[in-house]
Amino acid sequence: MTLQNLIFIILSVTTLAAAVMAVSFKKVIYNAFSLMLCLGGIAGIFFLLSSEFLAVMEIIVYVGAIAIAIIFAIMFSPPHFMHQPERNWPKTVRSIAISAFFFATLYKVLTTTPWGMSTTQEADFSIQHLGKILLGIYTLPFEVISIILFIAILGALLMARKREAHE
Amino acid sequence: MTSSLFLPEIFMMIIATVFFLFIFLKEETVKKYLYPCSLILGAITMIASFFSLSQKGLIFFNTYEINAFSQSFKLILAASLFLIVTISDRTPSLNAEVKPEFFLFLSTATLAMMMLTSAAELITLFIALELASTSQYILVPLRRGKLLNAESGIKYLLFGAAASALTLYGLSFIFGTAQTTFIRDIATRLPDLLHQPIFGVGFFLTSVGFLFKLAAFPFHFWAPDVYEGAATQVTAFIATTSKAAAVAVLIKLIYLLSPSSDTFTSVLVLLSLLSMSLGNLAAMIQKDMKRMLAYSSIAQAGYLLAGLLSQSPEGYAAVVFYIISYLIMNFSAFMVLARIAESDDNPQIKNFTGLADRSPLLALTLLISLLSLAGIPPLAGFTGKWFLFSAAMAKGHWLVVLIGVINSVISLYYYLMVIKEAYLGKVEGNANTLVVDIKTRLISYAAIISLVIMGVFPTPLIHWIEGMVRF
Amino acid sequence: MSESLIAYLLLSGTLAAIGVYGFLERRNLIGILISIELILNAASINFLAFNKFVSPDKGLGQAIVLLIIGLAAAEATLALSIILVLYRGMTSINIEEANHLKG
Repeated sequence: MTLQNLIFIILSVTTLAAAVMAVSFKKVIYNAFSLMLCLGGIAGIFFLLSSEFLAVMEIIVYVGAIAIAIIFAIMFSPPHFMHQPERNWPKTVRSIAISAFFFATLYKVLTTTPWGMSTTQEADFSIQHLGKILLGIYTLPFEVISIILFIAILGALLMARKREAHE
Repeated sequence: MTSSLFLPEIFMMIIATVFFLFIFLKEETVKKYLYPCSLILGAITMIASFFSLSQKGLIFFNTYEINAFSQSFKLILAASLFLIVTISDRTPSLNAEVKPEFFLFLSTATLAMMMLTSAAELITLFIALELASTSQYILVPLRRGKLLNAESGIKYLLFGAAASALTLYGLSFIFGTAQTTFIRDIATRLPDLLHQPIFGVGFFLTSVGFLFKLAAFPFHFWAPDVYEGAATQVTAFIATTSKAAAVAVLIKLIYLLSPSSDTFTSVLVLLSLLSMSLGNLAAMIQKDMKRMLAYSSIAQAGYLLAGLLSQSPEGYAAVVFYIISYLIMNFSAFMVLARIAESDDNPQIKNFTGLADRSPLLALTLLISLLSLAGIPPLAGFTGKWFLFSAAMAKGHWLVVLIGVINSVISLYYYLMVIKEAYLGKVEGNANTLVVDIKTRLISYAAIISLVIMGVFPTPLIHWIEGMVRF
Repeated sequence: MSESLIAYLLLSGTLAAIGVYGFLERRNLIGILISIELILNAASINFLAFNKFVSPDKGLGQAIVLLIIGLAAAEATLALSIILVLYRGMTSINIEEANHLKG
């Protein structure tokens, strides 16, 4: 077992365990902390996939902004929303069955597919190349993302105004 | 000159910017100038789209394809935005101070839908879809007052976000198997790809997002709540414009990828049958007019899928014809709704009582549009359904046609309930006549006339459509 | 293992399945948002895995994931602000129980 394999196993076990905790804990704040751990593990996976820049972005944007925003939202919400309600067991079983079916189908299909591997030798994972693509074929999506972020912020401000009107 | 290819979108961006600037103006100024300004800007965009109808070309490193199909749909989208703007002068359920934002999000949503029709690459397509969805997520809870609207807003957002997350997950498999995200490149490799089940999984997950937008079964559950919770104008926008955009994308994907496998067709058959049957059955028991229209729109999505599953040029042309007539009839129904809604903006069916006495013209508009939705000859809805079902019949899907016809008869029941209230119901006490201004009159006449003309003489329009549904 | 595509795909598949489970169980609005983030991240892992092992151009997948991260940020901002409006105004916010609108 090489060092890389060991790291991969540790990272994936951490990620999956954290993901399970993120959907199962009773206190919502624990869900959010588990999500942070899970996102950290995913950043490590990105690193193993030779995308260092994306790993850094994952930490900065996901862990640093999204997860923190979720935690703030939980802290701002009234106390009785900080707990998940009691489990409704028939529903839990149904949800588990559906997601198990989802995974089983994926597993069967994934393991039987012959994956064509790329043959290119001089792989260019550099940020320079990424930048060229982002301002090349992805110019339009890149610009549209900025509009999406803009209107999302405007929308969030509007909602805040609505909240003031309530109080 | 490449920027002229982008003309309708540039105009939409200018409009969005103007509305954004309106946010900073004083309230009196907004009240005075916003509505006339939006009318003029909407008309200009329509004209710009009209003049760029014959454009052709590829821009943004081939990710954006301008052709007859996309330009015609841009004209349709611009026209439906203009229609929504015309009924937005009196919005009882939107605060005056959010009016500029309302128009801003309407225009960004339309901009995104225009991009959807032209995107020739899956990521561009997906991001444009997200812009359209995000704008609508904000429009729904914009309505003033009750928390109900925030609740339907968050439901719409969370279900929409989950659908788009699954879409992305599916896109990743398409990226992995095809090694490209350009739709045309995928189409050339399709014979090989179809042998790989993982591509099928990817394709299926990707369709989830689009079926969600179309509100077809099993992704229809959001529609009634959202239609009821949003302001009437927003509901009209989601029911008409956004549906037209979803249809454009589905036609493009199915046409270019034409996965003419039996499984794919039978999935479409199943979705179509369930959409129309469930939509119609649920619509029968509704009291709230907007909820009724929501369920009826789920049924209409089922009819549209019946046209798509034939995968023939006639079928595609029929779908486009039907969506144009659907836009007109649904819009005119919503216009009557918006006029009737006085304070609470959620007219119940009993609010239509005696409409014929209060305003004969609005009652007539309602009559024509609902009968057309039900598919009564000689109106456009009938002709459109005729085209749809004959395209499905040509491919031997007689079961779909049979169930479709039965469903049309069922739908007649609940449309007639409203019409009965409007024409035969008697108002208690003295009926106050509705004041119908000149603009509403003009739109009503135009809607009635165009529904009749499209129903009786569909040939010129269907010829134009057959010429445009070509890639 | 760290050099085989299928290991990464199975990892992301499990992550997506956990996300689907959390979404379907939907006990709490913020919990649902967390589940959606899990599915989005599963998609990101897939894109980067295909980018490394399959795609001839090693920048494409990375660019797509960058766009996904931007999108997730926008969606989360909006969702959280609406959730807070609801939380402030309602006594119980379970998406199923406190249901004013019947589906």
